[in-house]
Amino acid sequence: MTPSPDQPDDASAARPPASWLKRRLTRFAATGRTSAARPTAHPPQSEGDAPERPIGYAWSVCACVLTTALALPLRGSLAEANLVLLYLMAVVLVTVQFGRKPGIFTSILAVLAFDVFLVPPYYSLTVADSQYLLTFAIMLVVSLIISHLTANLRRQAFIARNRERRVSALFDLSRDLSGALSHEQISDIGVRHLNATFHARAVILFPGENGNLATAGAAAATAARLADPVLMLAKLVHEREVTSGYDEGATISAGIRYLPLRAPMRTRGVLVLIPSDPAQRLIPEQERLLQTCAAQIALAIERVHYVDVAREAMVAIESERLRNSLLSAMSHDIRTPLTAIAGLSSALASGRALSPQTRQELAEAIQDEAIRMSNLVTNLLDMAKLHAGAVKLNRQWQMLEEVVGSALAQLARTLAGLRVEVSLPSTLPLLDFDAVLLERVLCNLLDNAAKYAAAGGTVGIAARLIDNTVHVSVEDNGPGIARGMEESIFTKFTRGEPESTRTGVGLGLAICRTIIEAHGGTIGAQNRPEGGARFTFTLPVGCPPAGDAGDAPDPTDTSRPDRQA
Amino acid sequence: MSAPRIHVLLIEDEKQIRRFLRMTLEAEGISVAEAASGQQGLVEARLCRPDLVILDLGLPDLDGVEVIRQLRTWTDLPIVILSARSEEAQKVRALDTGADDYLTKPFGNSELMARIRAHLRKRTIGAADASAPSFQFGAVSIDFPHRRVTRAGKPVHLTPIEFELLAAMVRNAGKVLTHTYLLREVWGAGHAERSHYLRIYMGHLRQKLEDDPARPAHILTETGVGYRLYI
Repeated sequence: MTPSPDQPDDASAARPPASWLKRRLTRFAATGRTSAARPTAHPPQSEGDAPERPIGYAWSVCACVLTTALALPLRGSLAEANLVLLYLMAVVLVTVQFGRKPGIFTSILAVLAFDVFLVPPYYSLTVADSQYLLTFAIMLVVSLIISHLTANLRRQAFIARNRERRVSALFDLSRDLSGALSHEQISDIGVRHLNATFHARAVILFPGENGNLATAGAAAATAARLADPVLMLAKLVHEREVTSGYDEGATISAGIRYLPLRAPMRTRGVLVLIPSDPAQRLIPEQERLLQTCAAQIALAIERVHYVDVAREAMVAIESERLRNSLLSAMSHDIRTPLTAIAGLSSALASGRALSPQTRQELAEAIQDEAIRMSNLVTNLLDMAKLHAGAVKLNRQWQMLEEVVGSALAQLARTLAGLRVEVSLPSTLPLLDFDAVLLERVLCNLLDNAAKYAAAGGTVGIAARLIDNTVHVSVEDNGPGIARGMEESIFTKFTRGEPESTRTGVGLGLAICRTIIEAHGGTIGAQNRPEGGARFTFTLPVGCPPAGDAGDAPDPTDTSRPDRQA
Repeated sequence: MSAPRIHVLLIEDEKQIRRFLRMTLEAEGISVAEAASGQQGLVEARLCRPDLVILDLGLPDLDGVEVIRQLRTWTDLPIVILSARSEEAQKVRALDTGADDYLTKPFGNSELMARIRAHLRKRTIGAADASAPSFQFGAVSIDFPHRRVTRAGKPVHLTPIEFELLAAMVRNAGKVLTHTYLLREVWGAGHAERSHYLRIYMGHLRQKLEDDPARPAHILTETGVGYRLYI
């Protein structure tokens, strides 16, 4: 129903003076209206009259009938003036409920009903006393004025409600955007709100790698892809915005709106709004709302961008701090073995007469110091790589037994002279881990155990399956860990004994923790009741793949088939 | 057998490492040729036809894997690569391209000689090893024609796949075998992603043939790369 107060009312033909008056009144009421009365085919958002329902006319008739029925018994007892007021009330009620046109219709009907039923001669349109013509005229004018004013009031209330709804939508959008932390979230929130508010499909495009625009978030995945012409135009709009700066208004093409998302620092993307009804046009209030929403979205994108910038800056600061710590730690712990190597080798090269045994000892000492330095450098490099996030786990399903064996083999020299006890149940399932990194963990733990175990002491490795976790422990019978330091030894550059003469930068345990936690496990230290330290780490079991079912015992094999599963 | 003097080619750009390698090899009576870059190495290999090549993967001009590839187009002489610690992916790629073994820097001269001897011995034995009737390492003795395995005199029962796996290791005794190679040899092509099968069966072999499966003396695991039968 397209409201148009400029259309002449049909009934006015019967009453020329009233129709002219009505037009005057209409123009009078129009000054109080916004330009929103321009026709739009947009039912809930239109700023024209609130929806008028045809049933209003039926109710007009009912109202007049009821009023007449009410007035008839009072015909003799009450003055006509009072009965007119009853009709006026009916006009007001119908206008309030059903709009202007039913109100006007009611006015006409009321005058007619009044004429027919309440003015002598009863039941005819003619009037005995001509003063009633004045009554009729004034009654009609008054009812029309009341009808117009009531309709105006109704419309103002409607406009106010719409405004409130728009502001509310804007508030909801702002509130939800304030919690967004990524482009995907912004896209989802923005699209959801815009779709609901404008009955359209909204797509938010972000500038991508090579100048192309791309969508982000779940809304993009589920919605159909944008047509290429749409994408092209969006890209054009974005480029024009970026190169030529501020540009008034949104671009509209084929009913689709393209709004650049302008943030204070720069343009952050393009909003494409595809209305579900292509003929729909937005009223200025809605345009303003759309612009405001676009600005909010742009602000949110900018905020997220700067949060990322801040985070990167923090990481850079942290790396810088780590680098400085490394440098100062290296300075001592690398110079020590280097000093030893320089000294020992210069003794060998000095040309002084040395017994073969002494030469052998010097050479072996140089070798030991070199290995120690190599381990230190490996730890430093591992820590730097892990810290930079450059290490990707290469997880494979394999047996713990293998890394235990290779770690023990690598440290054979360090563990010489110590008793090594290994207790791995053969029923351990396959575990999913990165062999190289876990070997690193075991080497670090074993190296520590060997360092602190008493001469001729014992180092043990054991594994247990408890619930869905495998617990692996490396223990020694050395002096144990100082009380209260069980957690702090895992932080970088913390040594068990701060002023120890034993070399080691204090990175080994920090590396172990990083690696184990990357596998979804935990690592901790405790003192054994019988003395010494025990380091335990856990690995989740998960679902190991099934073994090869194709290895049936060969019936032609002359050796007895093996029944081991 | 009186073998002619063995000749080894070093392709390594670091002068000090070349010096160390030369000293060690010459002390063992091996003659050494040197090349300081990949291109030079390829030329030297054609000229002097060495018995073994020691190749560093971190060459300045050519990628070490490329050198291997080019060498393998015309010769199958043993190639031992030198690579840094924690470069397992690089090692595996080099091995799968055609290298025979690797040494992780830093290494000592005993490791160097052990590797080289293992590969030179293989060559001097020649083609005869493929059909050798029996093999022995440690307390384990294998009778190939009858598919019988004993350990310290007592028979050990192996499933067909376990036997194939052991045979593949024995055929390449002393040499590192990548997971990919073993999977292809025993299970055939197309099973490259089933490395957990391999682990399970290697576990079985260690269980049956080693005194302490957690600290094997012969069936060694080369972390991140593969396995080696050490004899």
